[in-house]
Amino acid sequence: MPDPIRPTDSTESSAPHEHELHALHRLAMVGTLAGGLGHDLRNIVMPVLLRLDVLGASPTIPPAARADIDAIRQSMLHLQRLAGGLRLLSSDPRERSEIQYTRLGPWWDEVCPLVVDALPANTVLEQDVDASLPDVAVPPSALAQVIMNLAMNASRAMQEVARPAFRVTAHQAGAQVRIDVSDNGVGMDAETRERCFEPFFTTRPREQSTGLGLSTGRALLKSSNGDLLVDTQNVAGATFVMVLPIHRSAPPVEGAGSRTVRFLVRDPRQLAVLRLVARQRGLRERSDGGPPPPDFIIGDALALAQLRDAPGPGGVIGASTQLIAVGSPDRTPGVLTDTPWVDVRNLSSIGDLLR
Amino acid sequence: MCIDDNELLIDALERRLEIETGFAAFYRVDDFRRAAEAAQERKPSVVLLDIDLPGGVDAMAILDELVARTPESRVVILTAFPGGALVSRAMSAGAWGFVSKGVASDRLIDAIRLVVRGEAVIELED
Repeated sequence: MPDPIRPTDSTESSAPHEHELHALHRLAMVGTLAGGLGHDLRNIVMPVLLRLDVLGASPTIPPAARADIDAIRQSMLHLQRLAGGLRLLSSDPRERSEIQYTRLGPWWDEVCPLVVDALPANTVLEQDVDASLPDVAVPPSALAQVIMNLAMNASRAMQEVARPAFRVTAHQAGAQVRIDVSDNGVGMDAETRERCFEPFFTTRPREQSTGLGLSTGRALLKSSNGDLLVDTQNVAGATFVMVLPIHRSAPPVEGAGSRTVRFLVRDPRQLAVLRLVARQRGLRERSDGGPPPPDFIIGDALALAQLRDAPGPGGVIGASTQLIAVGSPDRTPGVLTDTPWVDVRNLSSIGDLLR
Repeated sequence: MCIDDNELLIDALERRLEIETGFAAFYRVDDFRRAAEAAQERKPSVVLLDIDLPGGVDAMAILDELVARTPESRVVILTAFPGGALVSRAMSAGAWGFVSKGVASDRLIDAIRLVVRGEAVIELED
């Protein structure tokens, strides 16, 4: 693959023109509308799905009607994915409330219907976004906004093409995942390739384009230490490359299933939350102490202190067993000062300790 | 008990739970400002709480009140606008579960069952 160019940054500060302010206002309005629509769709689709469950559970439903119910359910699930895609498009990825990493397989499942809708009806979609790719450290909403913009640009570029084709392929390259997005449209001339990431640069009339899609997309990916590049060698259409850093704190896969954890926690909700996080980390719960001893013992401070003072037969605490106390040292001073503490109110801190 | 302003969802959920075994009663809440009080009277096993309530009602404040007044009722947050920080905030504040309205209906029902059984649940789209 030839090296894509990195366009010069031409974002010098200057007072925005009236048409630029208008473009920003239009974008904000579309985002608000998309978000509201996604929200309302979800509130409508879930009741329909629940009602279909009720209908489907009736023993007197004739087989033909059952097939109808299944078909309606599939349509509703499609609508639900569209609603999810709309939410991704309307969210601000820089908001702290946004999830900051993406599992590419499920993300593509959600966004793909929107991408297909944005392309000309007869477009051949070639896709290879493998679910086994590592998570990337970019919010799903940012990825959705970038790829939707690329799809809409491609759609316009392919308007006169007899057999439009759109290709989305993802692969790992070292510490990055690269998603190549290409079309067989009219392509870009040298000047357009050079300037396509400039804010407000557009080859179309102002009323049809804000000229902000690519510059915003590039800024979004850059804010996550990624990038959006254009492949200068593709003359038969356009190819853009989304460069995405791999999410470092992705759950370990290798050997995770063989690691074990034992809980000595009395509070049922705390226990439930800890179990949930441990499951997400791929740990297997042990109800006994061993042998062999578990890799982790998470417990109330008092329970851990008792266990440490009087370990059971067979060595309940192994040499490599990691003790983790639940709570906070200021609340139970003087107990287990040399043991890591986990605050159950902080889910990510629990996950970090269970590495 | 369901604390939500979406009548379509409440009606459908009540019908859906009727065909499930193990659910004795379904309670609705008309006055959201008295939601915690209603839960204290009824003592439901699970409270489904929509995070996005109308009229300026603060669902997180209701969650705090539910946790304080009826710890035996396990709260599951329902939302059409899930976000990472919201999940952490709700689970930190004492919720047992967090379910997006964008998941398939059987995942919502499974989540309710799991929470009744004493498991914590987070069900998002992926």
